[in-house]
Amino acid sequence: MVLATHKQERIYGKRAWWNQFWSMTKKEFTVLTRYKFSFILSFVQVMVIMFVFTVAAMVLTPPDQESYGAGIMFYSFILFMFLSTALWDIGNSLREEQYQGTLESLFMSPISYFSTLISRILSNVIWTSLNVAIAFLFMSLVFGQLPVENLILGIVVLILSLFVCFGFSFGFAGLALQYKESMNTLTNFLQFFFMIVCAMFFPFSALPDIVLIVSRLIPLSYCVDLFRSTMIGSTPELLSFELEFTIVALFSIILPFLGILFFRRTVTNARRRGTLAEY
Amino acid sequence: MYAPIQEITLRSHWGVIWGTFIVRLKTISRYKGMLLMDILVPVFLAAMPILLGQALSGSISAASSNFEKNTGLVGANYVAFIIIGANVFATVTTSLWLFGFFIRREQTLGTLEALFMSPAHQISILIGLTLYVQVRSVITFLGGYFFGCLLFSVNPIQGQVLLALGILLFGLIPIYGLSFLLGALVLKVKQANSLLSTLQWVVGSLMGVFFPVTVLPVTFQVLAYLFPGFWLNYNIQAALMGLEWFFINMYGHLSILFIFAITCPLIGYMIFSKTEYRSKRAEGIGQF
Repeated sequence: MVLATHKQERIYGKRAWWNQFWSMTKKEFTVLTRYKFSFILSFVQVMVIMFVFTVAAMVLTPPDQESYGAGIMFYSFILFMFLSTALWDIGNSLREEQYQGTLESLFMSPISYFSTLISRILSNVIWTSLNVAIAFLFMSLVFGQLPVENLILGIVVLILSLFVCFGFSFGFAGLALQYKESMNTLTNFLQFFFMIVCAMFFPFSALPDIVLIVSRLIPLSYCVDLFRSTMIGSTPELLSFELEFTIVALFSIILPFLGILFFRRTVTNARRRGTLAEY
Repeated sequence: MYAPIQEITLRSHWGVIWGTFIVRLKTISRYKGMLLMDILVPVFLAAMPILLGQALSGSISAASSNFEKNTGLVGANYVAFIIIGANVFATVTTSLWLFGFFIRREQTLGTLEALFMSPAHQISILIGLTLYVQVRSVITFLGGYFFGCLLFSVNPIQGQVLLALGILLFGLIPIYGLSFLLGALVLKVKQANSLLSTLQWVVGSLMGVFFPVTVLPVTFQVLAYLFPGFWLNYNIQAALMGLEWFFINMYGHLSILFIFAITCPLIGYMIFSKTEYRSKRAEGIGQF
């Protein structure tokens, strides 16, 4: 009896959770850094994309607006990178486990789903943050100093926005397990949908009124608007700063919670039906 | 006694070509969402700079005048320029990636070795694949172009539409040649996805998708002129928008594309064959 309680503590206790989390994070990092070629190319890719879109923006803007245009492009791109990570990487990483035949044993073992997801998120967040830092240096070198009005508040807004993004991410990971290969097309579509509707590479003023109605219904729009305006030092376009901050903070709590609930339900269903190993 | 391997005749060549073409067509027809995304992605890509330019300049006409000032393309409609560029870009990347992804997919599924060891000539398989990409590219290009024009209120049938379509069909031939090179790379490097995604954007910057390459530093311009994708894109933009044929005249431009159409597939196929032969000898075909 004593032995059973001891075992239970080792599997479910706080310390066990940290151990699981730490081991999985280490494993994710090891996998990420083993493919050195891909690792290095991811930085090059970000720089090339930033270069293409910033030059595209600059040839269309008046000379006095170039720095503002580059700022909008860059700060939007930061959120876009994290959104892409959220939409693709977590689901893909679970699908990879499915391909390799390790997902079933992983989810049938007495470990926390939450630690599995968080470890995947952490490694991807660190990787994406590195990409952002390199992209910032690159942009500053090639196109001159980017506007940085309120860095501390910008970072706070970015962190809250990450929680919103990863709320989506948990949900998408669940959907990826449920719909498997078909999810790729939906994810691809949603990535571009968010990019346009949440005005990720241009001000909201460019959107037609009817699209703006949809924009206002998506919490991510407020993340984009708030982060961009905080960093550039402009007034938010959708609502006042206080209101946007409240919405972002609220959804940074609600969405991850709903995402996890959905993910747990999907995994439980898959376990019951025996479809965890099917891909 | 073994059954004799069927002699490779013209008829059997055609059988392999048609078979490969139909298999791919049937596969993609099962993923309708993917086809729809092929049409939507270039429109989404074009929307970003178009809307940004419009928002920062205050109006489309102000953005147009900035575009003229900054690029030197007088009278060019920047919205049409970007829509055409984004669609050609999507078509070129689909064509460039297809062969590499085909190799990788067959490798992962474990059918590449059987395919390459079968008594079908590689050329027939490549032609079948190319035919499929050609059909897919034209459909998605037309879909994306007309949808983009409709969305941003641009007249899609301005300029020489038939000439542009001809240039697209002919200009994709050198791109297929380059795709054989990428196929060889996939055979060699295996985990080539990240390389292909990065190359996609390098190609985008050299093709003059969102802006003419003349705004880039000279080194980039020289690189762009050496890349057939640039000539394909520029020639289509010139045919549809009436841009200047800056290399002698229209025939000068078409000749360059013609030279690429001869050299690229030859070089690409030679390199691919060599890599494939080496991989077969070194047990590298079935490994992934």
